[in-house]
Amino acid sequence: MPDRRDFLKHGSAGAAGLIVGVWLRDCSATRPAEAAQSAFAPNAFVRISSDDAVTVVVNRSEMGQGVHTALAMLVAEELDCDWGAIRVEAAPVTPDYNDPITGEYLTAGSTSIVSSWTPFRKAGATARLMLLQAAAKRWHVELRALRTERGRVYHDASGQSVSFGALAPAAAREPIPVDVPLKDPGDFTMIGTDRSRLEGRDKVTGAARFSIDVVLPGMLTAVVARPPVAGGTVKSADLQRALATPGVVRVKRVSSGVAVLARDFWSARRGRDALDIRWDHGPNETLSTRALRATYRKLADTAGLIAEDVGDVDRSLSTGSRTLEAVYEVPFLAHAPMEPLNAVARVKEDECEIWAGTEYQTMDQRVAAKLTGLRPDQVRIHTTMLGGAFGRRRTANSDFVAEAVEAAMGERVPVKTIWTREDDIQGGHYRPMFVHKVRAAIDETGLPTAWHQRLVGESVGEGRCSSR
Amino acid sequence: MIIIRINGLTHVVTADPTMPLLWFLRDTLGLTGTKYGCGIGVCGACTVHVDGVAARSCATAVGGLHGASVTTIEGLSGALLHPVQQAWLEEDVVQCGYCQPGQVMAAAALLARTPHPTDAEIDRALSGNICRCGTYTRIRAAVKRGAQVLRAQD
Repeated sequence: MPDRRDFLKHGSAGAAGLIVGVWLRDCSATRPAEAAQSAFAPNAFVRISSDDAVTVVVNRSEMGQGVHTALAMLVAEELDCDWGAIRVEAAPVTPDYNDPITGEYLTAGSTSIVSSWTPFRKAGATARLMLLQAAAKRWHVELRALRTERGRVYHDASGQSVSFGALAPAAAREPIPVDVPLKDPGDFTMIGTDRSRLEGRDKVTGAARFSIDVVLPGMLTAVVARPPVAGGTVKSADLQRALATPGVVRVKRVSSGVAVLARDFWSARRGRDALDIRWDHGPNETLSTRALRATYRKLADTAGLIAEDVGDVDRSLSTGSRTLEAVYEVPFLAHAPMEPLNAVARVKEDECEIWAGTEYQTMDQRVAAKLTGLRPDQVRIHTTMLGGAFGRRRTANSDFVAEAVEAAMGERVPVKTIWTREDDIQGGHYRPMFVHKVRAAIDETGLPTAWHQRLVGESVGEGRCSSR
Repeated sequence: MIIIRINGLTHVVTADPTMPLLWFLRDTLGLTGTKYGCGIGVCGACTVHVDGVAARSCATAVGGLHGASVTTIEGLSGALLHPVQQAWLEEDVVQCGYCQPGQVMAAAALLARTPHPTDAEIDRALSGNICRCGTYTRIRAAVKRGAQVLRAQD
């Protein structure tokens, strides 16, 4: 169980309410000292305001998988709040919100529930106990004479009850309990029930905000011309016609190509169409899927790194009653999320602000810091809704976020980069192509007695073989 | 001069007449509920109503809309949700949600003309609206639920 220092509360007079933070790492040994003293704990997961609203601060990106609703349910279960009072807010990108398993801020690998199961329940249970402590003091009764239900504390013996919101300011001044017990799964009333998606209404009315919908004062929209071959570079570019396009404000080089900044998307797109660029196709000019596939097939016949080696496969293969051999090929696939790739960035001398539907905030922050020369903590990321992701919004080089940051550097206004659908389909990073070669032996009953499998492909973590 | 009614308000368009309605809505008027998905009228994310008929705003130039009346997702309902939106919530249709304003607009246009749609009619009317999360079976159920409510209102 976490010790006393694992819990933070907020009790400043300015914001009447209760904030409870539970460190995601169950071991608190690495907790930074300044965070412990901070009145406004940035690692807080639950906030109860005097109007009874319960805000759950979620450190996972909502891309349709329902994680905002699921994590809110974990808190609501232990807090006993009214489900209708729940709000969800995207957590800022600070180390306190990193995933305890990976140590990073990311949404991947079906880890959200397994990582959040205990910490988010503890956050709810701790807040509930502090509310109970405050109620016990208010009514001069014992804690065990109290119960909670749907956002209220009840003292049945006297018939009194009080809402969480009314108790929140007093609860914030309560000592932080340790070893808060969690509910027995048999007593769950929330977990395991059907709940409608919290942001469902916003998504059917058009009110939900994806990063492509972010509008900031003075913001420019950029469309980038990228090389037709991955790894290519600009040899020469005539920018005159693009600059003369109505609405175009600036045309400039970025690492991925040439960015056309304009007052709106349509002007930026027309400006890009007017660019005259000669490309150096680079080392991948002759690279093709066909050639790669032939190479992969050839490699599948040679020995590689051994991932697992049990028993004597050659002997088992020769003694099985029947031997089978098959080659399986998985092609390159575009992820093609419905919301085309985009991001908004505003770069100032001492701060870089990013609005993005992203799956990998830690990498985005790292990449933006490197590009701007700022420290990672000077890069503030606002996570919006994601119009699908499927892994495309999480790459080893944060390509679509990096591009927005580069486009915004040197501008006094924010810049939103938008990929066209054609850019998205042509621009990788694709799900990699793989070739699997399998040899197996089966016995008389059809069960396998030997299994030999070689797979050839590129590392997802390292990025595509041809990435810049 | 191009004059378009959008969600009941009259707009005098001074933009480039070749600008697609989608970008006029999003970038000029700030109506971001209508989504950009493909830009060539094949994914349906940008679906709006032009004179009551479902139209792909990304492939509809503002220059050709003089005198037209346009309804976007923001103008579909008033204080209460449109029965199609309500049905969408009751069937818990959405996942990532990006395509859903277009889906809802396409469904509302269908039901305005076809109060008793068959599965085939629903599929035909919405086949141009792509959902990458694959919510199609719930969409079909929600269209039927919305149709029931609309018929009861008549």
